Amino acid sequence: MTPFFFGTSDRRLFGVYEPSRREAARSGVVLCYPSGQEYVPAHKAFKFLASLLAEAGHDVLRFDYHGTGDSGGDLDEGTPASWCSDVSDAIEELEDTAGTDRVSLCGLRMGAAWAAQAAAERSDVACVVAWDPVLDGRAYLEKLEQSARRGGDTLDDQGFVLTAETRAQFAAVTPATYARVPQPMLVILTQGDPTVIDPAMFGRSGDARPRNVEFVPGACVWEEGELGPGGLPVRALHRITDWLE
Amino acid sequence: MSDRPGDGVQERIAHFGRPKTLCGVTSLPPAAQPVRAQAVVIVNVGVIHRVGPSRLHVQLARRLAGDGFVTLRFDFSGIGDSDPRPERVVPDGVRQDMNDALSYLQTTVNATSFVLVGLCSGANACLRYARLHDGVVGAVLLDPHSYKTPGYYVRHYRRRLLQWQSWRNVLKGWGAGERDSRAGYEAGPPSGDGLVAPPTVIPRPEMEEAIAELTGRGVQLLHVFTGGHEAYNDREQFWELFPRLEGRSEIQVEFLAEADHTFHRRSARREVVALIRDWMATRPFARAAWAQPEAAAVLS
Repeated sequence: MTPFFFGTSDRRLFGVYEPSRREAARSGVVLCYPSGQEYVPAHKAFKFLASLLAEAGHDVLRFDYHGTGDSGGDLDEGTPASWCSDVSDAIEELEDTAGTDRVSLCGLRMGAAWAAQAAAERSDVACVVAWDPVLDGRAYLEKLEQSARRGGDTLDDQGFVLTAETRAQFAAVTPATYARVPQPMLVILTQGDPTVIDPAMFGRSGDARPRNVEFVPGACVWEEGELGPGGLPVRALHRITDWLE
Repeated sequence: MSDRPGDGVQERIAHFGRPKTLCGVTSLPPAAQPVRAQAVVIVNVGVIHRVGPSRLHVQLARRLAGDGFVTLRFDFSGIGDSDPRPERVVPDGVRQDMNDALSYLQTTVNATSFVLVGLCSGANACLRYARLHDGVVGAVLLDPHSYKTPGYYVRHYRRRLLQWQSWRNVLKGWGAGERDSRAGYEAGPPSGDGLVAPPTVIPRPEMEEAIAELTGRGVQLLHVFTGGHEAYNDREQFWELFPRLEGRSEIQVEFLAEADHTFHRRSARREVVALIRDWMATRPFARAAWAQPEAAAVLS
């Protein structure tokens, strides 16, 4: 495991590179954290997933978006558009570091949306894993607004600032965000009622861009109450690893 | 105020320990800024990794570095990006991690005097560790463990009497359902050094003894309690709890009534960061009375 900084001097990003533990690496995988208060509880699961993937032969990079975690900037400096741009920077960093020209993306919650948007814009993404993706950006935003404190035209979600621009971009996330992904995609769900999910919402399943939508119940890693020992959806994480192989 | 890299604060990955299993980030003062003699070490809050709740630790580290203090925030073994120690079960793991963190700062930036910063169980760990290392010259204890005093109950029930919600609960037969926080009030100190893990509770007599010993050594202590603390509700409660210590100039106590326990609100974070910066800038820290490190390569 190698923690390091990358990016430009005015947009420094923190990443942790986990090289393949096998002689010949299979591919690179970039892990995309969820946003806001979901980031801290998810950190442990991302470390675990990175380790599983490295064990399976992947070179892995998990990184903090600008203004979050250990990356440069402050909480009010990032927007969803800039976080998507950070995903692209992380892809290029992993390609340089691991010496590969194609990588896979795996994102949790809003991280899945940013991964999907980056994948739709790039030709060097092999496949995408959308892990418990946010499907209804408006509902996601309403939940944030319930707990947020209003201050002018911004909302403070326990420290993470939701500007009008950020709110509009959150609200724009719908199943169509994922349906636009041109690459093969695994949608893995650990929470909720799988019967209300129509796999067709993620796009046409076929040879051109196969879709797997799977329900693997497990711990909810993005909520604070699940932070204790054992709070990992181990089956789901193993399924992600198997699918990427 | 911004904490963009353009402000001149530089950050370096800290990968240290024996073997190198511990992970953290060192914030270094801008090149033009005189470096202060004290280095700051910020420890984990429970299982939250080194960025702290709502990034409090990042914000604090960058601000303190901007003021000239080299600041390290790191993860204890098994938390965040630090691996568990290879030997797995360590009798005093927190103590070893802290020793490694201070040694790292010694060898990389020539630090010999340290100020520890911790919140909740992290504050308790700082209090205990400060007694074990003569290089510690200060500690910022944010919402450390505390005990309810008779004064606490008077204030608590006086406020409740003025709240309609309380009367409604009485009329409906709902109890307050409060947890007894007095366990440990008269307890003796634990066996061993008690630093297997960051402690959630410290017996009151041990706290008093620790604070008396540290202030006797000239260690500066900033106690900050928030309105979110479950057993603390007034600035004066500290002196109700430790009347013997009243008047010691090394102790500063603050009560941030509007802040929540993990400083989730931006206004609370700004308030506590400003308070700590001011305290760090104005306290007369003693020179650490312990051996100088033999060799040091300045981190650059």
